[in-house]
Amino acid sequence: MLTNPLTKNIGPQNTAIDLAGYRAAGGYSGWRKALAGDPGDLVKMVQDAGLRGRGGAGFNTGLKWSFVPRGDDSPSIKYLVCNADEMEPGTFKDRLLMERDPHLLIEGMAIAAYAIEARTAYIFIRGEYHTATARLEKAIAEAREEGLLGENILGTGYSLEIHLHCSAGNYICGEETALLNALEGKRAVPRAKPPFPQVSGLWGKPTVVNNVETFCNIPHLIDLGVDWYKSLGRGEDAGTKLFGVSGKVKNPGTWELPMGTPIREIIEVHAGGMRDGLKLKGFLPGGGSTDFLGPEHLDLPMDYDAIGKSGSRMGTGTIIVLDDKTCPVGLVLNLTQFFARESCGWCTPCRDGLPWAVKILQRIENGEGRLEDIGLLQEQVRYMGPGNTFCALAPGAAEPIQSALKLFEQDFVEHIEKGCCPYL
Amino acid sequence: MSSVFEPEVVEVMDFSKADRSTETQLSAEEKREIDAEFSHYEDKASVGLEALRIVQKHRGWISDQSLQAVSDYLDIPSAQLEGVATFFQLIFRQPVGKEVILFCKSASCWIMGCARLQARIEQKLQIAPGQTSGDGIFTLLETPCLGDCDKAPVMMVGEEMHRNLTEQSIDEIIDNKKRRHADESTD
Amino acid sequence: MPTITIDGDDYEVEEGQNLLSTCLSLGIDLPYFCWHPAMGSVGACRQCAVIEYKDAEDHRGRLVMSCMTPIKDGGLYSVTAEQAREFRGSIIEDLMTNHPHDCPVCEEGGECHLQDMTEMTGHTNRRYRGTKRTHRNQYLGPFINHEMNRCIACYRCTRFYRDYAGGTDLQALGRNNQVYFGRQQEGVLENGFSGNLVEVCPTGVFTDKTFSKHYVRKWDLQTAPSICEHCAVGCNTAPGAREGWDGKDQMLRRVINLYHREINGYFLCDRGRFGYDYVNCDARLKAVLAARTDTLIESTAARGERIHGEIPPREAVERLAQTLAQAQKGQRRLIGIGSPRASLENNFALRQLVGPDNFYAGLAERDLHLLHLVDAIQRDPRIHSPTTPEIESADAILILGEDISNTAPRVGLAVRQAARNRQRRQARELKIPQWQDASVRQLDGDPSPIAVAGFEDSGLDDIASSRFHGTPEEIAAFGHALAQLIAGKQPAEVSPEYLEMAQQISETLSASERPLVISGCGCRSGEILQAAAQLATALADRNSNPCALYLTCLEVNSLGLAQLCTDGKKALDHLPGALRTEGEAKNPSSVIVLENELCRRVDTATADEIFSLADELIVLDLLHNLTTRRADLVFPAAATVESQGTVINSNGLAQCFYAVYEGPGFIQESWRWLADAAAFCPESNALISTIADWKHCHDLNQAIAEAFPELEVVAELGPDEDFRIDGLEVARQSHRYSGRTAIYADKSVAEHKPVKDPDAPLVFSMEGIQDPDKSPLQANIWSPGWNSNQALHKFLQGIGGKRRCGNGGRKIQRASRSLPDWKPAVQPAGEAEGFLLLPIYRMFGSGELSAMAPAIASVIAQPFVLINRHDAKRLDIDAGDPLEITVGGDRCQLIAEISDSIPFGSLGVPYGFPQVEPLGTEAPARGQLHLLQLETGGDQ
Ligand SMILES: Cc1cc2nc3c(=O)[nH]c(=O)nc-3n(C[C@H](O)[C@H](O)[C@H](O)COP(=O)(O)O)c2cc1C
Ligand code: SF4
Ligand code: FES
Repeated sequence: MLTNPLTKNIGPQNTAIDLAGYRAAGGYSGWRKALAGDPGDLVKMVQDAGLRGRGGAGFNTGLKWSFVPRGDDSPSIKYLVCNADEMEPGTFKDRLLMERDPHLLIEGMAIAAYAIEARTAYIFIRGEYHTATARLEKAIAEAREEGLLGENILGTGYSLEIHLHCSAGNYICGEETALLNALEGKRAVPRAKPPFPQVSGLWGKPTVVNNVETFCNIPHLIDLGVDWYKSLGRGEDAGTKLFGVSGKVKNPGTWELPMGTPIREIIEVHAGGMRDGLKLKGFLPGGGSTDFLGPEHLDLPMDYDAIGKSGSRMGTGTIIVLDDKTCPVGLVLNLTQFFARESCGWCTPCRDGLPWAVKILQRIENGEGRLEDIGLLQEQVRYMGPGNTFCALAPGAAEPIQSALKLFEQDFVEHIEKGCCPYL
Repeated sequence: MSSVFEPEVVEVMDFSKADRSTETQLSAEEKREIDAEFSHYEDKASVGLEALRIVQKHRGWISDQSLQAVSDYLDIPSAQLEGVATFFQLIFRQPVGKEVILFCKSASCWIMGCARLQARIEQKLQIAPGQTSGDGIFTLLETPCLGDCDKAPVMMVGEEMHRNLTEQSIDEIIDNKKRRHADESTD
Repeated sequence: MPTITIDGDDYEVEEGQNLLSTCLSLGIDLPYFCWHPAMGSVGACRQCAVIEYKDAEDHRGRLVMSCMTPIKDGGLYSVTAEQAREFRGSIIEDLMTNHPHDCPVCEEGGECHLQDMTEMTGHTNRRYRGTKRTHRNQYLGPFINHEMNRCIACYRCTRFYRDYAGGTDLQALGRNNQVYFGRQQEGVLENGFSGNLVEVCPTGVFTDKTFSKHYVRKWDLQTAPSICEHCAVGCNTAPGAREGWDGKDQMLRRVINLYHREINGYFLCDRGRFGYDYVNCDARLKAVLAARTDTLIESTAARGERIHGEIPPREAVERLAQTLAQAQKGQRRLIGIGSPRASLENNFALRQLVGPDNFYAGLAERDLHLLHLVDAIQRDPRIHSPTTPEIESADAILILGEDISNTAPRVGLAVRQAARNRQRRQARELKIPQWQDASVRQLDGDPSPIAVAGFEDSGLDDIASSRFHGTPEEIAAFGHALAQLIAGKQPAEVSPEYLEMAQQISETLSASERPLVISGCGCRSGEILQAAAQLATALADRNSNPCALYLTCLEVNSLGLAQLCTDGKKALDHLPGALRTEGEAKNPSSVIVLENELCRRVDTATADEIFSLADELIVLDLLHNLTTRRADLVFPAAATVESQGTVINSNGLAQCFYAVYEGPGFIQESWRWLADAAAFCPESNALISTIADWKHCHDLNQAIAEAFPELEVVAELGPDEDFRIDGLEVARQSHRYSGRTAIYADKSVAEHKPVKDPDAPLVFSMEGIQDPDKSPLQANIWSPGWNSNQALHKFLQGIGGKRRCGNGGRKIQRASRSLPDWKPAVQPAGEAEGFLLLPIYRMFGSGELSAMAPAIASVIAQPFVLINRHDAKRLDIDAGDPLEITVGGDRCQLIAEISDSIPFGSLGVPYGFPQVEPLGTEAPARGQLHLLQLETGGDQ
């Protein structure tokens, strides 16, 4: 039984599998199957399989698709968008998929587009991902050539074009409504909801936005079926996922593992554990905008709800490990600088609150902090909580700060009391 | 003070480079590439960012003249285009060197000691982030996570990724580039 | 009506609103920034947070942005909950991290929404220890200051400028906390509504540059409700005045918007906002002048200009009284020339004095005819003159021949809002509330159908769904064809290329629920007006419902003048003939010109004829102009802000304006000069003594109502001078008006007794009614804790509703009369000689008074002539070439501008522009074009 549908075509060489190779490995059979069926059934299948969005929020993908109006009186133009703006600190999974197995993404998108009855799709890709862009471009051309994309695909009467849109480097473009504005050539400020993109998105047309990895789950799901897909997970969630570890571990990297794989296994087995002489102090389970967890959480399974219950989020599933010789205040400062800089500038708590938090953290890190700064920071992050800001960027930024203040409070205090960074 | 934020946004640079970037017309090639994008979008105005990227590819950066040229060609008000240009950090509204170093400053690279390496570059090229080296070859920019965190620290020079950076590898990369550009200019 | 609970109190509230506007209309103070009553919610500032509870069991609740929260029946909310208060405090604290501490030198200070909100949230203690970011400011032209450091990034400026007013040159630039609101490059803001930024910006980023030149704090301004005199829309304004630093006379300092739901709402155009400064300009008449009899310097004498010297008012009044006496004795013919820019009272007074037979409209026959046409059309019961909100809700619009962006800018702004009605309808279908502005704007939706037929490009082209450019005849023919199509007939005369467009427009109009037709006097074509009327009545017949037809008049009281002067022959064209007849009968004639510059009305030859045939020329006016220069006697007349009076706008709405301050020098209302003369007239009779008895504006209103039953409402417009509320009059000064004892201390230490207003129950002091809820005459919109103009909501019947104590203005009651069945316009007979000159209007330049305001004068384009690209090519004319146009006996020099839209064989010439006024009086007319040799330089 296939247990690594996402990475089965990815070999040790840094090259992309071409169309011939992809087909030889059974590629595009999901696409053929999909085209033979009813779009509505596909949506249902994906929903039933329990595939949850891999972009960070973990929303049921099929459910998201089902919000798209269908039927004769629904808008005739609909769009599908792939979110390939991967820019979350510590996240390095979509790049791998796009660079090494571009056809998997294209096939996944094609099926999704068919399912929601879209005839145009975009891959919104980070401007810095030149290799991925080139390989995707080539793969799209190959697929068109073979009649797998374009007009009247495989004689079914269904047509689909996939366009690449290279962005120009802003984290906020990953937020799906900001992404839509960016695609429309506007400033990438998030949009107000309602209307949700599924009802009125790109150029006011129904639009679905999904993450690269989410799409990459689709071909095999359709090909091999819901039961197979569900059986992949080890815990509550279905399917496999790319998990990654960065930081001072022996063997940083990315691996496709079943959902529900315990964190300890990922860090200690796959990533080889901490480098010699270092202890694990804490970790961000799913990228820079998740809450720190401590060693006591190592046995949690990587499942959306399990991580959620522990006070953090699964996020992108790429773990950043903090060791005991690296200053947590410095790390939080670094993250906050990132978020402050990437704020779109629309709403106050994020635009003005984050730079203030940066200044406070900078002061503490430089040994110029005061004890009341800790309270001030706590207050700041509280005001940036979910719902308080216009989009999820600021709440995400608040997560590492608020959790560090709890988990590493002693470090903050020490900085202030010693008047310098004790890790220097 | 450009370590946290970009330089002030609507700063007008005194830099005047007598090169293509001050041309007030789009070249035939630029137009062709922009035209090719039209069919991908519902309207002309949506091509703004793509057009800026195309022009920047040819000219290195987006001067006021280039911005105006794109604005005229796409029939987008120049202020609107400027709103977009200044929103996206990979659109350069100031002249940059021939090699733009996007130096990853994000969490994983930071843990892996990118600060020390950045200091190395700064000292070697005698520039701070946001600046261009005296020989006009390098511009150093700090960038958010480049998505190669398992090979941190990383940086991008031009379109090439450089991974698992060390002080030696940085020296080599810079020296190589310098040599190449010296060769080019003597050709 | 849904019931909601806020902090334990139950309220019945209006359906479909958001929680913020609901709270504000309930009188609950809740701070906000990005929300604006006319622009809706976008949820950017996060200042308006409150707590929403799920149900009675829920004690924690959830923080929500009230501006983004639709009220629910049975909803439970708390404004005062600790959690919400704290959060709101944190927002202000965040905003203040970068806001400078420059209130003492900031011109917003004292009417700053940010100050008010900071107070309201109770943020007093600064915890931020960092530096503040700084920006560079831009030069934005003569109207607006830019101080970006004060910006709190509420995005209101660009939301107004770009989204609401269609401006393209002001944008949010940059990102994160470096966002910058400015232009791509420094330069004059291009949009004609830029002045509203001053009121829309909740802090001091955008302030009024003309006000800066003579700045005082809001609380030091004396104010009264007024009507903008720069076009016929009738926008309500709140001008502010204060003693000057030189002579201590009051001087006008600025004009801001005064909310009138049916007309201007929250916004004024830049001509209205910045045009005020003409009252302070050098050309202002403040003393009585008499022509001297000394030998004249030749160059000026050539044009018949006189040299004037000041004389005591009494002497002048006596001289005028002598003239009156002679006229009463039949020894002299007295001719009065009225004016569309003078109030009803002034026109009426002159008309009474000279007698209806001798009262001329002060317009060319063509313009008077157009006004009578407008009046006739509006009397048809099938025609309805729409208010601004009605215009905004039209679902299909046809603009026929009128460049409303320039002749009635505020109406143009309303049309721009109507363009979004398809989007709004889609929002309704998706159950997205209309106030959720960003959500509605991001919906798919072409602009609502707006067809524009005009001489050239219009300011509404960006939202127009179809455009038609043509000569007046072609536009009229197009309109007639549309009317016929709508009536289900075969159109006679429309060229095949436009037939399809006509069919499509007529179908759209016929199918729409709320069609609107716009036309007006600006095109100076009766045929176009007739076509518009025919079209509108055809639509009305079809829908069995009156059709909205907005007809623009050009001046503040055009329609009022038309009511007083119904004889089409009492136009200036006929005056020389009448004067000549008198002359032949050896009967001397005196011509009294009321606030009118005749050289803007008729060609130079006719004006000169009037001037030279009149044995005595007496002029009452505000500014020195070509007419006053020819006068024997000049009386300084009060400007709108210095007087009280009534004007009738394009909709037939009579509105009263009140004196903001006493005019300096010997300035007084024109009718008072006339009444004074009557009082001194040695030859008294019933007529003279009635006039001499006029003491108050109200006396005239009464007289007008008696003489003109259709104008009866004029007598009921406002309270008379004796009106009191609890024994008090309305205060023009705020409680905090400073220095009233100090300001005259160099002359006398005793407190100055305020000047008495003989016309209105308003005092020139701070003692009196301050509450805008108590009297519509209170124009200082202020409420405790709400020092900025945002205080307005305290005085409305719900957000966006009427002013609680009523808005001024009553429609005149014109007898209804059905329109005659106009025959379609005749086709132009053959090719006439020369080019067809078409009048082109500009917001800056076409207005007579505003052109004298220094800031506006500095942006008036040099006189241009629009020439069709093909004509230009044929004649080898390039943009910028100097050209001369001769028309009638006049010649004017202009600069060529190449146009793609002006019809072939036509030239667009500026209407009313300084130095080339005669062009406006003629167009449309045939004229000749000559190329001028470029000066080659050097002095051969
Ligand atoms: C600030 C911000 C940045 C985001 N960046 C990304 C991103 O780079 N890639 C991505 O797939 N999703 C990103 N997301 C999540 C998207 O908004 C969205 O949820 C996702 O693309 C949906 O796809 P999924 O359902 O397949 O996960 C981001 C969200 C926020 C708030
Ligand atoms: S939280 Fe607000 S300012 Fe921050 S990115 Fe989202 S919308 Fe922009
Ligand atoms: S007023 Fe509600 S968020 Fe700004």
